[in-house]
Amino acid sequence: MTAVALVMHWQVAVAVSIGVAIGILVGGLPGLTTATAIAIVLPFSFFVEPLIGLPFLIGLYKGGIFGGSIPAILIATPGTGASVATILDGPALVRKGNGRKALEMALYASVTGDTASDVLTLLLVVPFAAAALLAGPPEMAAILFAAIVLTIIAGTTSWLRGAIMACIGILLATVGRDPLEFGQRLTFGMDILEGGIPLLPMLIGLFAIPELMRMIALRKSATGRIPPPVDPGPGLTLGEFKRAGRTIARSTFLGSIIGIVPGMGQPVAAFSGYAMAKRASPRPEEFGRGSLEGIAAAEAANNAVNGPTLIPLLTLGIPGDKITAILLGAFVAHGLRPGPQLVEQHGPVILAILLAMLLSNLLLLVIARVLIPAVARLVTMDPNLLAPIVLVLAWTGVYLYRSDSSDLFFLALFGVLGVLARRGKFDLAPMVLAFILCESLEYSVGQTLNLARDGVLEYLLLDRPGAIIILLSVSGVALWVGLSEKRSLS
Amino acid sequence: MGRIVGKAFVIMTSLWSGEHHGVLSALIVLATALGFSAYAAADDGFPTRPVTLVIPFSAGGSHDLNARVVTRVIPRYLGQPMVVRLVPGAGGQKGALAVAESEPDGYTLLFGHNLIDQLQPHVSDLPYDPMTAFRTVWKLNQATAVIYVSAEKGYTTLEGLLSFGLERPGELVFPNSGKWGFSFTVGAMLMAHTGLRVNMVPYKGGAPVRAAMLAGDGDFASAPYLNVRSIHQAGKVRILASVTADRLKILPEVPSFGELGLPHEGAIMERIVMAPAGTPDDRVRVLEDAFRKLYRDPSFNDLMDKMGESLDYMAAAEYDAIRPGRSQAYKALVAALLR
Repeated sequence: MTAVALVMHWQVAVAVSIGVAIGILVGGLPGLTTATAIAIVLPFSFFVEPLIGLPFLIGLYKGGIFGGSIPAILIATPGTGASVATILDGPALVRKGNGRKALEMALYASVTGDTASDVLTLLLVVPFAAAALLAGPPEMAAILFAAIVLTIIAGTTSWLRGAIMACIGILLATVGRDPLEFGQRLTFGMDILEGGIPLLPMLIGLFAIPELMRMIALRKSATGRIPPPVDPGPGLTLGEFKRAGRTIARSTFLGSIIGIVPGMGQPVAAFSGYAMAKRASPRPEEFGRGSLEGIAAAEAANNAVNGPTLIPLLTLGIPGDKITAILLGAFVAHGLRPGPQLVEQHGPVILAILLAMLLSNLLLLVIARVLIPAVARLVTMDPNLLAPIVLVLAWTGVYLYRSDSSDLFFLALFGVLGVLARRGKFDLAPMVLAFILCESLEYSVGQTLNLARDGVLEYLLLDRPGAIIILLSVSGVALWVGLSEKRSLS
Repeated sequence: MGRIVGKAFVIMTSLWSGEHHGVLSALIVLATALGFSAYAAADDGFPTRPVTLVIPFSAGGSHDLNARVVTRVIPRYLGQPMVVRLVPGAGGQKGALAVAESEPDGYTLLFGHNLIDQLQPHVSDLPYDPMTAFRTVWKLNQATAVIYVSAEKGYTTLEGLLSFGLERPGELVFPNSGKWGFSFTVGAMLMAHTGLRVNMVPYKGGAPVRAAMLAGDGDFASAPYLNVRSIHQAGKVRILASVTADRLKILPEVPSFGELGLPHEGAIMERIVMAPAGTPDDRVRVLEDAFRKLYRDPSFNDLMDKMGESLDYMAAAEYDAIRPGRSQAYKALVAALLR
């Protein structure tokens, strides 16, 4: 009850609203990352009460994660790995004249996933603290491997092409400093490669540049006339949202579980949610060609990660990603040192912060709902104007990211690769996911090998049967899917 | 007039933290540049434009957060904004190289730490020698470590842990936050001194190490006490020793490496602001002076205190004097460990 009273102040709502609004703006502009924005405003939050400062940062976090889906849907430009799965269907929906539906589905699925997972967090924060520790290196390795395999078998049109792309992703991720040892790999003596390949220029290059090329090609259509601008279309109907209900529920559940495990993150949730939704859908052929369900699957899953990541953060002081690492600093600065005794010592404040998360979902819904009709009109712009704007956004976004001109080279390189992949009908999703997960996979495999002194098989069988179970079930699913596909072909 | 415009911008930019990312900050930099071109005409003393602080790590790390606090307050004393530029990659060497190659005019500074400066050159092939490429502007603060074990394991003293480990070479698991990072170096020093051989398992940073320790995947680990304080107070871990000469005030019952006769010199993580070696003395003095005033600023002290950071600073000459010796000591450590 005290907690409710603590949240019921207009200042809290104002702080959250400002946070959400800044978050949407930052997330919506490629190149500005939510993590950087939160790091910048962190010192300001030190000077206000914890119940204003912390909800403000949480609002920014949530707004940022949703904001990232706006350019992903409208101009195929992802700001983070979390919104890549949204690109598989967003731009296709825009082309069909359903841009507004896509944005609204992204919003409603995000808010639903977020709210449900926050409620789960509220209920589980005490009993489930230890769950975060259940996944050690071998289990992590198995889960990460499973996520990549799942994306290949369920998310792509051809297993072989998907597997090739995943291998390319892994190969690219190993360029630069070896995370476990100290040496350099695959840099061929080039300085530019020593820091590894940066994610953001790669994402923008792979997805935004082909989209740009498509826009330009459209402009020079055979008729010689400028094609009519795309209409953002009508809003989402209740029926369409209801039809995605099962998908949203599944993705929320999946995202929440992934969120509890530190270090897994939104990309794993989004891709797994997407792949499972496609498998379960009665209309899997629509996925990747503009499916509202696809958007719902990805967005519900990546937002469902947000709440549960706070469980290991608050109860063990273990942040799951960069943003929660900064939030850890904010909690400490307000005298709330995350750890096993936090909930005991500061129960009402912590509960109030969790309630403020629910409030921030509500405010995100309201603020984004007001913004969407205006934002969706972006696509009605004449391609002659829109194409240069996207071009400028892509280039400045990549440069603003860390003011490194070599990133522009990567942008161009991956732009070419993106165009080629689209021509050759190679899906980019497995490559991007494998690239993002490679480092964690390498850590967890390396740690497993280090820990398994008496032989890996023995270690896994005797000490870590969980990892074996995960790997066996993935092989089972893969086999089952393969057989059922073969049967449907013959 | 120009001076007034300039001052207004100093106040404005010190209200917003200096930041090189994003449209807002681009605008600030542009606006400040315009404002200060007038300011510069009135007063041509260094600095006449914003100073860039290169952080060789990614956003949200402890260096980033320390820098946010510094850049927020220091414009008052520097007369110019200080903008953060993140250049992560190659364990910090990419950003360091960028600063080493920059114009030595005091406008580009590196915010690194002692291990990048004095240890890592001995384990990787660098195109520059930090000892001749950089000079110190200010040592911001430092962190020392403790050795901790999971409360569920039977180790109660460091001697006990060591003798157990010495009897079974390679059996004790020592999770660490990355090769030649702070916690790794503490373990390496212990190994080189005692002849202990342990299974060093690398993790991506300190938090995953804590998780591994709580999950029982590791036998012992090292970390700054602040990072394990909450799990220590909750009784989840036992602190066996502090890696310092004397006992920590906050842990009077825990023995120190000094009294146990174990090596602690250099088992430290120091955050340092450095400039290219060719930077003129008078400019370094201006920068050093701004830091000195910063350290007397109550709001800076308050912010650092809230973050739980120490304020054990060292001025430029003082820190430059200890660098070469430290570098040689780390070199010997690397040689002993690789032998």
